Amino acid sequence: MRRLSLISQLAAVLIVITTLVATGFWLQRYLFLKDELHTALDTQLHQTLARLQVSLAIPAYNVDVEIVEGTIRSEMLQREVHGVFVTENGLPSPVYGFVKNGGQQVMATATLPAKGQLISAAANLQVEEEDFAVVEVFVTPCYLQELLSQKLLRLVLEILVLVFLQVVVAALVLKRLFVRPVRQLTALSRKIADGEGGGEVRQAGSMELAQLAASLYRMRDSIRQSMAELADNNERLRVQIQERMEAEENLRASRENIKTILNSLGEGVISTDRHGLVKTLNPVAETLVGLTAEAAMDQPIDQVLQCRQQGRREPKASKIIANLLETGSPFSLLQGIVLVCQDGHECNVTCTGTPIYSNEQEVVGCVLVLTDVSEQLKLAAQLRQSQKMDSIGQLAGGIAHDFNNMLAGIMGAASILQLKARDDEQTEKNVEVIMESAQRAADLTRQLLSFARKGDLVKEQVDLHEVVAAAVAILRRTVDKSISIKTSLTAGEHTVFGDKSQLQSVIINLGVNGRDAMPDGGTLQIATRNSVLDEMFCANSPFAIEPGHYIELSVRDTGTGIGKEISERIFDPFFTTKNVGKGTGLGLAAVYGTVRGHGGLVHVYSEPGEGALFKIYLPVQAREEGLAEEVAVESGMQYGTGTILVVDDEEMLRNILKESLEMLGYEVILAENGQVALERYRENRGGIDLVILDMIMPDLNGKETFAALTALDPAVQVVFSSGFSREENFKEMASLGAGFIQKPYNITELSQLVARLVGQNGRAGEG
Amino acid sequence: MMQRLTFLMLCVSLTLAATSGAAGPAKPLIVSGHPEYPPLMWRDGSSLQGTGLQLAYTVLSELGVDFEIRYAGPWKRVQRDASLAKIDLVAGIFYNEERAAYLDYSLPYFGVPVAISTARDQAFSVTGWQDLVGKRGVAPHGDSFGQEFDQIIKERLQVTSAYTMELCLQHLIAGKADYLVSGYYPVLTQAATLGYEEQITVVKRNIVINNTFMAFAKESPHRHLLPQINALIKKMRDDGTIVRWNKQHLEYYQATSQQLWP
Repeated sequence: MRRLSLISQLAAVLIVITTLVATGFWLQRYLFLKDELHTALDTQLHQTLARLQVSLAIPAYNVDVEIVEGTIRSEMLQREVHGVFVTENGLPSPVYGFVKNGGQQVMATATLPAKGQLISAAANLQVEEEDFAVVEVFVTPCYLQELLSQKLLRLVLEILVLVFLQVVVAALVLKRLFVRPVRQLTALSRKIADGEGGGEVRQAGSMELAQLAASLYRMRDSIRQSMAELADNNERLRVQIQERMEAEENLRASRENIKTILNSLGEGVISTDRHGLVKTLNPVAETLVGLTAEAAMDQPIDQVLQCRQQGRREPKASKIIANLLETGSPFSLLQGIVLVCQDGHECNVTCTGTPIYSNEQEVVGCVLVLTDVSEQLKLAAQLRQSQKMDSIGQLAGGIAHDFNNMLAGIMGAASILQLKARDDEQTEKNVEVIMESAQRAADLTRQLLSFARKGDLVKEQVDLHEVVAAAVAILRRTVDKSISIKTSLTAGEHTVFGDKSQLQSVIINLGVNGRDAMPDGGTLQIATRNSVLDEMFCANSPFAIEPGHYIELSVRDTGTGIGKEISERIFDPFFTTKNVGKGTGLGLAAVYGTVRGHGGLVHVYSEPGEGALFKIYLPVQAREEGLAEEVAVESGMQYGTGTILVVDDEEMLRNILKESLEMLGYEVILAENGQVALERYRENRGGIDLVILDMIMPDLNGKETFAALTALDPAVQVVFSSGFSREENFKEMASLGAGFIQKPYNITELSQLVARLVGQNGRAGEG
Repeated sequence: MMQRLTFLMLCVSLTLAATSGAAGPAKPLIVSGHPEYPPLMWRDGSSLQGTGLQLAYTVLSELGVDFEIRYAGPWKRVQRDASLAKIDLVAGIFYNEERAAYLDYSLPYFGVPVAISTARDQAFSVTGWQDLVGKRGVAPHGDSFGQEFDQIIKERLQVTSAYTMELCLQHLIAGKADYLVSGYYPVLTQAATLGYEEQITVVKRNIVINNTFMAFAKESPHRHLLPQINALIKKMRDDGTIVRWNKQHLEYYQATSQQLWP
């Protein structure tokens, strides 16, 4: 609240006192005036009555109405006279009566007014000493009140002016005698307070004020001395405070920097005090342990950080941390540490602990650094699996190649025997057994090649939904009725570039695998949908795949499910959980190889008793109309004529092939390697219609030989043969105009291919 | 002769007083009249004298009515009291329409001339009311001079009033008025009585002659006597009784006025 100045307070006191005195005076004057005015009114009333008594007697006695009325009206010109009545003796009502209405207008009436506030007086009218009438005059005090108010108002104004003048004069006097010296002293004390030293007070006023001024001077001197000391102390304090503030600022910046670093670290960092109570928890650590820093603050470390050795249940870290805090021995747990989050979630971490030392080299706490290696371990496992599969694939491919070469001989010889033993029924049956066994061996080898991605892939635009439909049709005929097959084909883009038959085999293999997992029946669900695999997914995948649009083909069964250990090996060739003779262990391996051969990837998700879900991702191929050409499939053995150069480093295969071709009507020239083949072609320039060229040969391989032959004769007609075929090489050969035939040869397929090619160059089919 | 008449008048007055005093418990018939109109009527102490009172006394006595002759104040007051029925019978009065509103008139019983008088040194010739136009007149307060002349005064002349004949005469002498309108006999008798006879002159003796009537207040309970009174008036007017009485009262007034009028 704002305090009033001294002059204002004194003026207020003066105003109050003067007002009280003036009010008393006013009250006394009010009572006096009121009494005086009442007396005056009474006097006026009786004077009026006396005049009327004299002036009305004769006219009233003579019934001179005009004079009587004129006399009364003239008296009623007085503002205070309200009414005059003349009542003659013996008459019931006044013979003359006049009153004023609300204003000053006089009106005649025979009715006496109600007394009310009116004051009246009456007198007899006499003639010849005989009373003959009474005159009564009424006066009103209302004008008296008005007059009294006017007088009082004037009195109030006079008092106010007087009070004002008194206050002004008193204020001036007080200001000169008291306020001005006090103000000077106040200014002096303010200057002293401001440290300006003051000055001298010119007019001290009263003795008390002079003493006050002297005291102020003494106080000023004392303050000056104290201020000087205080200034020195302040300066010292200021320097200290400045230093402290700088230190605090540095500390704050350092803390902020540490906090920023901690927040930016990819590792979780936890610090504790010497009692193992958590003091710091950076955001990564918050995520790892599943607690906020606020929640973990001052909690025991073994409640916040719960680690165990993989495969064990007992805590791992708490004892080591306790030891660290006790002895200061750092530790590193780099393998097999499982961190159990607060919500039960587990992750693989590495954990290192380092003591925090005080300046006295005492352990005052520790710092724990946690690194989440779950993803790293997962990728490593996937990489290992991928590498293993590649290794196995290499091995399987090599074996299959050799097998195919062997089977080529067996099946070629068997085919010759079959042609020659048409009349020997027993021999023919035996040859058929050889052929069927060889064919099964060939199928097995083909699956091996599929797994190794070295099979004969005939890629084209394939509608995967058609493939699924065809596979499902086969499966419905194959599986038990207790198994329900459902499809949900929702992929909008369902065209892939691949081998239709191999993709169909993939679905059938997975379906058969599901069937075998559901001996008591269940549901086999095959579904498609579109997915986009982004760069991050592809980069983190152990498979070499390209980002882009994929079609996800999923096959789910409700069977017995697959354990983790089995699922890690499920795509291994010859790995099977089925009884001997029930499976080859190549079905899922072939699925794996085919999918990878199509640039896709395959995952299996399963838990024991929960069924299994296989997800295959294949790159979507934009459909190009008209590319897919239906090739008329020739059926049956095709015979022909012409000269064919057979180039193979395997003598048995050369001979079998020679005999087979000759049986089909062709002339055959043999060459055991590329150089011999070039010589034979040069020797028979223009006489060789077709060259059957083995891909894998010592010295000049098939490709090099093909290049040399083409150099000799750009129009040379070549068919490559191989136990396995890499897709890229086959493509290249195909682009050069060469054909391809997979070992082991099927005599019928061979006859059809040779007949078609020899026929194309015009030299075949003439015979 | 004079002694007999004086005696007679005194007797009448006494009789009137006695009659008044002998009034029974019933309210007597109050008779009053003009206090300054000799010889027809004039004040005699608390009672009245004159020709009209003689007639009233005679008639009412003959009818056997209980009555009282009373001085009721100035002439205007008498008229006001008659209008209020405080007075039952006015013994002599001229007719005008204003008075007819509250009075029932008897048959006229005597003709009275109205005269114009002036100060002797201010006299002027008057043959009719036209000679009065533009001059200041004065008349006794409350006097009427008949309906017609009252109308002329009101509309054509400038006449003020004074409460008494003496004041009227003083107005003339003092020059406050140029002429006086009054009864012929009253001005003569009172000028002589008051000692102004040398200063006053009658310039027109009868500018108008009015009949004098008796009149009952309309509110009076005795007005039913009017036909009987008219019969008696007719008889006494016709046989000259009233004229004789008037002559006797004029003589009586002249002889006694100094004593009667203080």
